[in-house]
Amino acid sequence: MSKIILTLFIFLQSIDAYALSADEIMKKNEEAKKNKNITTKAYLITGGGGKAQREKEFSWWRKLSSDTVHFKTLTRFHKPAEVKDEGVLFLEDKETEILIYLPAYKKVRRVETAQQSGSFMGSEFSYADITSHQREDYNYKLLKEEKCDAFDCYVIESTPKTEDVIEKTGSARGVVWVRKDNFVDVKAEIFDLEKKPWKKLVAKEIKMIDEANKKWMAMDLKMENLKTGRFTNLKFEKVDVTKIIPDSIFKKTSVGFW
Amino acid sequence: MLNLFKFISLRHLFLKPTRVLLTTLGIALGVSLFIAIEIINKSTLQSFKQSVEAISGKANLVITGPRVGFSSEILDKLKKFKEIKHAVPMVQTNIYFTNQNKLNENLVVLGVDLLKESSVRTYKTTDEEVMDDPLIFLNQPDSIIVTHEFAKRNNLGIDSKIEVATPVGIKVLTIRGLLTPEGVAKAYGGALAIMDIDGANYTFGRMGKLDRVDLILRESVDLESVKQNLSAFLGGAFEVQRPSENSKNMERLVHSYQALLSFFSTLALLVGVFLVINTVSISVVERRKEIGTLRAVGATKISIATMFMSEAFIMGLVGSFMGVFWGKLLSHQMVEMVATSMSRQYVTKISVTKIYFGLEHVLLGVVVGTLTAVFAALWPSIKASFIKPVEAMKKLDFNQLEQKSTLKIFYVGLSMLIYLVVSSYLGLGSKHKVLQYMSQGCTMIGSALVAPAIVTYLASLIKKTVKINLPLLKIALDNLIRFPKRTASNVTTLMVGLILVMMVTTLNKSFQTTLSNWFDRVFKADIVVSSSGDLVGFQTQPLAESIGLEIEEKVKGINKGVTNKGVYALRFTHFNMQGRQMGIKAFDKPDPSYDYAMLDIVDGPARGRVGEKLFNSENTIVVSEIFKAHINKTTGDIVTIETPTGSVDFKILAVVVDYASPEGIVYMSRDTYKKYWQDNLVSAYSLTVAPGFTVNQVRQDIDAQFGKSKSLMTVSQKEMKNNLLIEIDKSFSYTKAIEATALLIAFLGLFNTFMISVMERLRELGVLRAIGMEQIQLIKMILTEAFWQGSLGALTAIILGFGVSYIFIENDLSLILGWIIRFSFPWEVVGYVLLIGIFTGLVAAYVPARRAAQIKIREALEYE
Repeated sequence: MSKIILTLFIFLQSIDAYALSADEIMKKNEEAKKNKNITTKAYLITGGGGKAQREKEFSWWRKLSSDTVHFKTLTRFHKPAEVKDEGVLFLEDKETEILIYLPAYKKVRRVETAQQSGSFMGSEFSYADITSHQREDYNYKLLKEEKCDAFDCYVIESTPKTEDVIEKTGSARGVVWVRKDNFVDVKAEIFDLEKKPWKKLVAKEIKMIDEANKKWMAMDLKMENLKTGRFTNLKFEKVDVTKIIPDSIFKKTSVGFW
Repeated sequence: MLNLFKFISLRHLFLKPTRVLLTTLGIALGVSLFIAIEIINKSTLQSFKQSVEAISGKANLVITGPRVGFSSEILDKLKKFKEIKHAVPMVQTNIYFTNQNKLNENLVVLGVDLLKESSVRTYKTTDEEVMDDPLIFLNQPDSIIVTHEFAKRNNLGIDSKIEVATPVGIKVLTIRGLLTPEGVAKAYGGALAIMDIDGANYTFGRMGKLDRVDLILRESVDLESVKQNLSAFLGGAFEVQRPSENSKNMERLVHSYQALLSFFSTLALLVGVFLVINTVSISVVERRKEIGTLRAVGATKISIATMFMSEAFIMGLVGSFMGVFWGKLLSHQMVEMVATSMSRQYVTKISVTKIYFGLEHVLLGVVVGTLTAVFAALWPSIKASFIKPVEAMKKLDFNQLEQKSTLKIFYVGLSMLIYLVVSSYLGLGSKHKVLQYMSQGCTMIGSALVAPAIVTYLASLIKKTVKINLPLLKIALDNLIRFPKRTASNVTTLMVGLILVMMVTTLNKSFQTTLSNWFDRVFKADIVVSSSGDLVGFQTQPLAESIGLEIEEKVKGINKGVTNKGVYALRFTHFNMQGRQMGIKAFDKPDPSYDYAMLDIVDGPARGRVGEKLFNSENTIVVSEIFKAHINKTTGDIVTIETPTGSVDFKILAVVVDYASPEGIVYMSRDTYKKYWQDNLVSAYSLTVAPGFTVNQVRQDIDAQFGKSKSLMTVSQKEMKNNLLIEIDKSFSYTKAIEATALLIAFLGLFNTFMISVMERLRELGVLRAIGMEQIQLIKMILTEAFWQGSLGALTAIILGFGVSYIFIENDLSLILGWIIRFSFPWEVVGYVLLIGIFTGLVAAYVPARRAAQIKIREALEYE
């Protein structure tokens, strides 16, 4: 009897796992990456396409907002000298607000929504790629399950629900590979407005950065532009999730002072 | 009727190939100039429209304000309009880059908010990023994007440095991006550069200022009501327009200029008309017997007229096609000259990179050319149709017939010229377009019709008053008087061409003299200091106010007068008033020794009184004549001007002469200007040299101290005047093509009529040869007649050209162009026109004379 119950339990468990809908998978994916506070050092290394490689170094603060859905992110550049002290503040909400601090003019400038699909600081990442994708902005469809590297993955298609999201991201379709074991995405393909392949994202060095809350983070993200052959590596190091980041640093008025 | 055409008209066309060819060439030349001007007019407007569209991008509405810019706080104010989805600011300025050939290249710099731009405009590139690194680009005020073409032409690339003149001196900019000529980069023919808005404002000393805001509205809002609400909200100093309206404004502005071009090209076409009239008239005379026979065998009047007109139709059709083809080629040669001239006149960069030539030009050329030829043939054809069979068989008494018709024609022409005088005096041309065209038509047709009588009269006068000892000259002059119609045929086309030359040169001369005299009256400074660029056209980068003080302090030899002030600032800019771009000249209060010389008053109190009030009372202005004409306000009136700080009522103290803008000019003190326009920049400084110093010494001192570091340029009074006159010459450079075309048609006409008249007189010439005249004597006689015809034609052209030019310049020109120009006769051209007349006459007569001399006496005597 106990064997039957055990078998039934395992069977039900497997049915449950197999029966996860695309939405549920993406919800778990969202949860897996939802760190309350992240302080880290980051590097943007851009190259390829026959052009010289460029590297930028910056600090990165990301904090989960009180609504527990959206994030606030501040980046402060250190190198090269031409961009020293430039800062970018991402204030996610229903509409994401992005502000750039330009030390040469001691001035804060706003990035228009239509510009958010543009390059983030000369990299192959767009401003929209840097912000966290809001689950409710997309329709998801589970395309298949397959191996990705050594892991079993869900392959999920995302399509924006509104024209505003398309305008903001510059993309009309995306496909993401989500690991079954930890629900972290390891690969993504991004399609342009005509649904032609545009960019490819590969996440490496995926580490559990908060064991207590089972939160993960990819330490090396490589975004490749399939049209130009250029790529950008976004690398993180010295990730600290224990430091509580004060809300004050995310104020619009203080973007230039951190 | 078709048979008449097939068996008679076509046969005649093939029988007289030289005549047909010359007439066709004449029509082709007239059509070519007409079409070239049409193509140029369309291309300049289309290029401007393309620039406006390229710069406006996807914008639904565009907000522009005073030329000096307006506060960027407007962006916050616009937030209350929920209908606005995106409000994208822009600043726009000209920079001057000294290229490898040491020539100043003018680039229009668009300072745009690169973080908002994609809402409105797109920047394309072929194989690389527009910007090398946006992060670096944004944070470096010296970042600039130029076009690939500009970079290639000047051997520049990414990270290259370029030196440009700015209000605060020379600045070094770094090229951090390259554009391919698509989207915005197509504007101004690619002569533009992009900077970030903050970088541009920082570099050009205009922090916090904007020149325009492009608006993208939310879907399904009523554009017109948003436009109206915004206009009301922003006030009169601002204009809220759809991008297409901006093009229309330009269309209106350059319309007058283009009308003048069209006027001259139409006149050139009219020269061709006389060529056709001559050809058909002579053909009618030659074929009198044939007409009589045809009428006798039942041909109707209409079919006779149609026969001649269909011959003109064929020549017109072939000539028109040739003309359209040549017109396209000619437009390529002339377009740059016209665009430069227009840019100078309207202080707006107009570049033409593409010639717009389409089916409409082919159709227009063919229709206008063919109709002109048919129209020209109408009168001689009608006359042909009225020839009775019996009359046609009789020998024609040319003399009697000619005297009568010459007199009739003279009266018709005289009536036209009288109408022209009355129309100009009453200003009828300004009341309706048709009346304007009528006046213009009367100019040429009236002149042409009175010309034969004048030529005959002049010939008789010469015969009576001048004792001619040379028998050849005497015989030739007698021949001219005996056969007035033949003389008229030969002379009219030449004369019409020469009248056109007279009109164009008189116009140029009048501009030169009027502006030169005005300059002498108002300009008393020894030296003018400005940034590098084109000072005469005020196409220079404005300077900071502090530069004037620095010059005053550091440069030796500046006359500081009784007020201890030596350097005087002038600000020249524009503002909108009743849809017109009015100019402002804001002056520092001059030294008393100047005696307010810049006030060239035509209406108002004495200069000193006006000057004292202008610089010592608040809200007072002086306006130009053309401002008065356009706005209908004069001395003593109050005029409301929308300034960047609101509506201000100004009292007009006087009306002055000024030529800086064809729309109108307002003078005010710079204190008043600064108060209401919130603009401290200076367009140019003027100064006089202290006793004991020379102009060169002071210029050298300024050049040494400020030339390189601030990119300043000094111009002496003499150079300034010379530059002004050179600029006027350049503005009229395109008229050379009009003159050349008119003269070429005139030459063809003269050649044609000489050929015909020599053949007509073959029997007479045969008799002369039979009684002992040698070949060389015959040639000399015909050439002497040509000499008389050329000189009398030129003389008539000078007399009539004087008259019609006077009427045109004193009355019609101001209506067309907006400049009030005083008539000045180019006496120096009189000799030139006489020489051209004689030369053209002799050259055109040489071949026919030789042919006549070579014909055997027996054949000549048998010729009927």
